[in-house]
Amino acid sequence: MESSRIAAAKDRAEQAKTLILAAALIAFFGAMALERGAHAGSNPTSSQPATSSDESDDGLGFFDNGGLAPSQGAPSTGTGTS
Amino acid sequence: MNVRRFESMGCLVEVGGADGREAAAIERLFQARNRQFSRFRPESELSRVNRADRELIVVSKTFGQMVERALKAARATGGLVDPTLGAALRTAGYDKDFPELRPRPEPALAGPVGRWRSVRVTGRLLARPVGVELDLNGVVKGQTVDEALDLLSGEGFVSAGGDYAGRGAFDVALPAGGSIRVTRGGLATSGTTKRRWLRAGRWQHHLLDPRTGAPATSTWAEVTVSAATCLQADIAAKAAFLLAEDGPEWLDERALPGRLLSEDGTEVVNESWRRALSPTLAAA
Repeated sequence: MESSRIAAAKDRAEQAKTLILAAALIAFFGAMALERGAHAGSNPTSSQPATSSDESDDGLGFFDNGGLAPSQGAPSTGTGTS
Repeated sequence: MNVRRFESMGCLVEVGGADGREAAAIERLFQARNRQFSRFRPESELSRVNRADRELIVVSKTFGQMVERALKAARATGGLVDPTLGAALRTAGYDKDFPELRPRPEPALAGPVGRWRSVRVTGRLLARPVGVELDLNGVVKGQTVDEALDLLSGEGFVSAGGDYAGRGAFDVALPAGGSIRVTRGGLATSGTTKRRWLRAGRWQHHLLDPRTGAPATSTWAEVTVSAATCLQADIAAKAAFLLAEDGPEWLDERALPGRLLSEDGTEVVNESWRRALSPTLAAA
């Protein structure tokens, strides 16, 4: 009796895992399909970068400040060109 | 302060303030990232992904996280810093490690334009159209510098090519002379004076305009930016370079100090840079 309850719980857990995986894949490919649909007909050699309202971000929340001050001595290292 | 040096990712890496164990861990980190993300090593994970002939690929956790960062950088810069320019870089002639590049007589061609919006990543699942080649150099070096700094137990710095991050206040030399004290976060310089090569007698460089798939034409030769992290500074410096004369204002809108050098060596600093260096203005 006890073992059958455990087996049933395991089955339910497996089913839940499968459902979660399936939902993740559907969401993933759904997003890709929407993306393609949104850009269907757009010119791939356009001189402007593509924009879409759901992904536009002016970067104002992405960057934070560091700290600078006038130099006070010989440099410890340098910023060359990367 | 003790400074240790080694070569990685095609540049000199300097580590200040590390003990022997920390310095070794930092070098291992750089070499591992170089092996994983090099475009020029056929066995790298990046090369394997770019060769894959199917849209959906399972990648390592580190790779997936780096792509996520690259897509965030693209979003934050309106697509200027685009991780899908691998094929365009090859077409422009950047097809081997930089020291091995030689002048060639044939002209460079424009490559595919940026397509960062066609890339999706969820954890270790990566999807991109077959043929879209990733180049994650725009984020890998800066992120590795930031992670390397986290391996230091005390004050110190990590500097790799143009990319710097420090804990504590350190004076850092600037391109074309002068220096500045970085009291917090990162500092990065992007420009065209080092990584460039000749094709049909014309200079090509690695900062591509994703709108054209060709080396960008900019007002600037070098752009140096300060930000909270090296990665942020590097991304902002690239974006400001590509924005040409709009670069200083774009940085100011984000309160990021920027120093921009034109081809003839003229120095321009934006308002945020001026404020950061003037105690009176900074306090206002």
